[in-house]
Amino acid sequence: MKVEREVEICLVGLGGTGGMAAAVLTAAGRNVVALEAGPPWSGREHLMDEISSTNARNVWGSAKFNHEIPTWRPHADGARQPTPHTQGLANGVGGSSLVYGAIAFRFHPDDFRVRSNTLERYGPGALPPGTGLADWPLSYDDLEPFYDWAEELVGVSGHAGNVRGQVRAGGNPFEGPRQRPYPLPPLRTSGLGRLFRDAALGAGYHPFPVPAAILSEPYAGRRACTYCSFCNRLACHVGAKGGTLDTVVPLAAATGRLDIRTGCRALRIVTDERGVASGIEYAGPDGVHFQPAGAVVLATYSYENIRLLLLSRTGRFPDGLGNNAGQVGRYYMARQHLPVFGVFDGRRLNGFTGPAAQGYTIDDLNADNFDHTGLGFVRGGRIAVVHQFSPIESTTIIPPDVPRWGRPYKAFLTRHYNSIAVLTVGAETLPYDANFLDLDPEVRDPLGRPVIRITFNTYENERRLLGFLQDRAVRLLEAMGAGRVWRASPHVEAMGVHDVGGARMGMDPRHSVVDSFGRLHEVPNVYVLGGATLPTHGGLNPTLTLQALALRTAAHIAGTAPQVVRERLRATGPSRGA
Amino acid sequence: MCGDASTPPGGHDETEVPPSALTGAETAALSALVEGLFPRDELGPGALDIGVVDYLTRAFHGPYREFVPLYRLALAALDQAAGRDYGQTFADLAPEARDVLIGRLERGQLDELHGAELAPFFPIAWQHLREGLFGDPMHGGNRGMLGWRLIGFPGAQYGYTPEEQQVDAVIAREPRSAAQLPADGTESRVP
Repeated sequence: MKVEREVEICLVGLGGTGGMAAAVLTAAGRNVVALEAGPPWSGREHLMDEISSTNARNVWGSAKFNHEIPTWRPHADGARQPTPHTQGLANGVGGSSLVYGAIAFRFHPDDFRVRSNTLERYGPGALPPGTGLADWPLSYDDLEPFYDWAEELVGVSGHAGNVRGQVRAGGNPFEGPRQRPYPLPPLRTSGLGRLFRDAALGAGYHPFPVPAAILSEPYAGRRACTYCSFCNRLACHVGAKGGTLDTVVPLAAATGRLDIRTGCRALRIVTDERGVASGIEYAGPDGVHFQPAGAVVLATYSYENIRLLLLSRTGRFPDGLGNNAGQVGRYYMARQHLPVFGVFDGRRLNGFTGPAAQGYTIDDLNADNFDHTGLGFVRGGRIAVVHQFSPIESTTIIPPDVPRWGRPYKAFLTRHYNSIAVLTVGAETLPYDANFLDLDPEVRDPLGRPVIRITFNTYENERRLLGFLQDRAVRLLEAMGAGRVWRASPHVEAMGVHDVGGARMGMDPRHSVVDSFGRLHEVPNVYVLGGATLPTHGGLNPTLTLQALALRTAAHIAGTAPQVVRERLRATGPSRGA
Repeated sequence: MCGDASTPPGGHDETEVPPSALTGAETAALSALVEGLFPRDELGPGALDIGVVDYLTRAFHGPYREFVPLYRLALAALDQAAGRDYGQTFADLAPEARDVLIGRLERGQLDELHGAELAPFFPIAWQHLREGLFGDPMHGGNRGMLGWRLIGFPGAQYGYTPEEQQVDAVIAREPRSAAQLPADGTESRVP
C-alpha cells in the first residue's frame, strides 16, 4: 500500500456538495485532496443525447454507480424485490450536479422545527405510528446566509416572494424571509407555464416560477440558458446549469490548494487507537493507497456515505464508524413522485422545448402551509408544470386504456405527443423506524464490497398525502384545459432520487449520527455532507439545502468567518456586483 | 440498468455497424416482434422502416451485450409458440396471429416453462424499442429521423425562441442529430 503525504483535509467525492466544500476550504487557505471515483468530465460530453443519459444506459454512472445499485425490500422481514426504479447517479468531477434538473428551492423555516410545530399545532395524535419525526439542530435563520451564498455561487434564477419579511407579488408568499432577491430573474415563462399560472390563480393558489440553478442571463462569465430541453440527466451544452464543475470547482482548482484525484475510490475511513480518523484508504488505478489527513469529509451520495461508515469497522466501532448508538442507516427517506397527465386535444403545448426546471409551481400545499386538521395526514408537497418532454421517456406516458404497443399506441403518439402536459406531484416522506439502509448480505459490487440494501415502504400518511395532492393536480389540469386526465399509479419503492437520511443530524447522540455541522458525534474529525444528514425530507428538491449546509460545514472546518471566505471567492468568482 | 463500460467517456464507439449477434432466424423473429410493437400503417413508417433492428443489432455488440441471452430466450419462445399454435415460425405469422402472441408475451403467458426468466423481457424490449424509434440517429436507429418526424420532435436544436415556447406555436424546424452539434459547444446564437 502506497502511503501519500499527509494533507489537512481529505474530501471523498467532488460533486454537488464536495465541490462547494472544496471551494470554501481552499479559499480559506486549507490544502485539500479530493478523491473522486469517476472521470474528469469536461462537462460537454453526450450533449443532447437522450439515449446515453437515460436510466437505461446512464453513461454518467459507468465508473461506479451502475455497478453497485442498491437492492430494495419493502420491509425488514420481506424478500428482496427486483431493483427499484432508480434514477442513475453520476460519478466524476461535478458528480450528479453535472446532470441534475437544477431546481433550486430553499426549505421552509417550518421544516427545521417540524416535530415541534406539528405537535404544537395538531397534538401528539397527529404523528403516525413508527415515525421518527425530529427537529433539525439548526434553524432556517442559521442557514439563511448560506442559502444566500449558495444561490450566488451557482447562479439561481427566480422571483423572490419574501425579501426581509416583505411579501412580493408573483413570488412564493410561503417562503422564508430572504436577505435579498435571487441573483438572476426567473427563467422565461412559457405558454405552458402561463396555462398553469392562470389555472392556479383561478383556484386561489399562489403560483410562481420554479427557482432554478440555470442562468436566465449571462452571469459570472457563464452563458445563459438557450431553452434547448436537453437538461435533466444531461450535461448542459453551454454551461448554463449551475453544476459544481462549471461553478465552484474551477474556483477551488485556481487556488492551487486542491489536489483532484479522479478514478480513486475510497474504501474505508481509517481511525487510530484513540478513535480519531487518520485518513482514507482508497483504490486508485495503480493499487491501494493510504491518504493521511487531519480531517475527513464524506461528500458522496447518501448511499455511499452510509456504506463507507458501515464498512469502516474497527474494534472500537464494531458496527461501523460513528455507529455505536446504532443510528447509522436509520430514517432513510425517498421522494415519491406521482405525476398526473392530461391530453389537450388538438393543441400544441411544445413541452419538448425548455429545460425541466422551466416551470411554474405552487407551494400552497407544501409543508404546513395549509391547515391539516381533519385531513388524516401531516406535511405536504408541491405540484408543478414542467418542460423537457423528451421523446424516449415521454412516450411512456399513455392513458391506462391505451395499449403500449401496436397500432393504437402508434396512433396515440402520432396524434398526441405534443398535446400532453405533465404536472409533477412530489411529496414529503416522513422518517420511519421501519425505513433504513444497511449492507446487503448477498449482493456485492465488482470490488467484492456489499452494496447498500434499502428497506423502504410507503405508509398511510404518505398515501393519503399523495392522493390529496393528485386530486388537486387533476383539478388544475382540467382548469388548464385538459380533456382526458389520468394519474400515475401509486408505488411503494424508492425512486433513487432525493434519497435522504441515514446519518441524520441532531443534538442528541443517542438519536442522531452527526451534529449540525455534519460532524460525527463519536469521531471528532469526520464530517458527512449531503442528503444523508437530513433529519426530515422536506417537500421540495433538496440540493440547494445540501449545498448551503456544505458551505456552513466547510467554513466551520476551516475556522474562518464565512463572510471572509465569501469575499475572497468573490474576488475571483461570481459576484452580484451590487 | 446496464453498465456501459465499453463506451469511453466523451466518445462513441458506434460508428460502424457490426455483424448481428443474432442468427438470421433470430433476426427475422426480432424484426417481426418490433414491427408488431410499432407497425407500419396509414399513419406512417413502422419500427423496421425507422431502423429499430439496426439500432438493436449495434447495441447488442456494445452496451446491450448483456441482454442478448434474454432476447434469444424470448425469440425462441415466440417461435415455439408460433410452431405449436400455428405451425409456422413467428416471423412468418400473419399480423393478427403475431399480435396474439405478443399480447401473451406482454402478459407473461407465452411460455409456462420460462415464465420467470421472461418476466423482465417486455419492459426492457419496450424501452429499447422507444430508443430505436426516438433516440438520436447517431446510435443507429431513428433512420432519417423518421421517428422524430412522426411525432413532431425536432431533435437536437440549439435552443428555442420565446415565440416557439407559446402554446399552439408551430415549430417549423428540420430535425437535427446531436452529431451535427459543434464539438466544442460554441454555437453562439439561437438560429
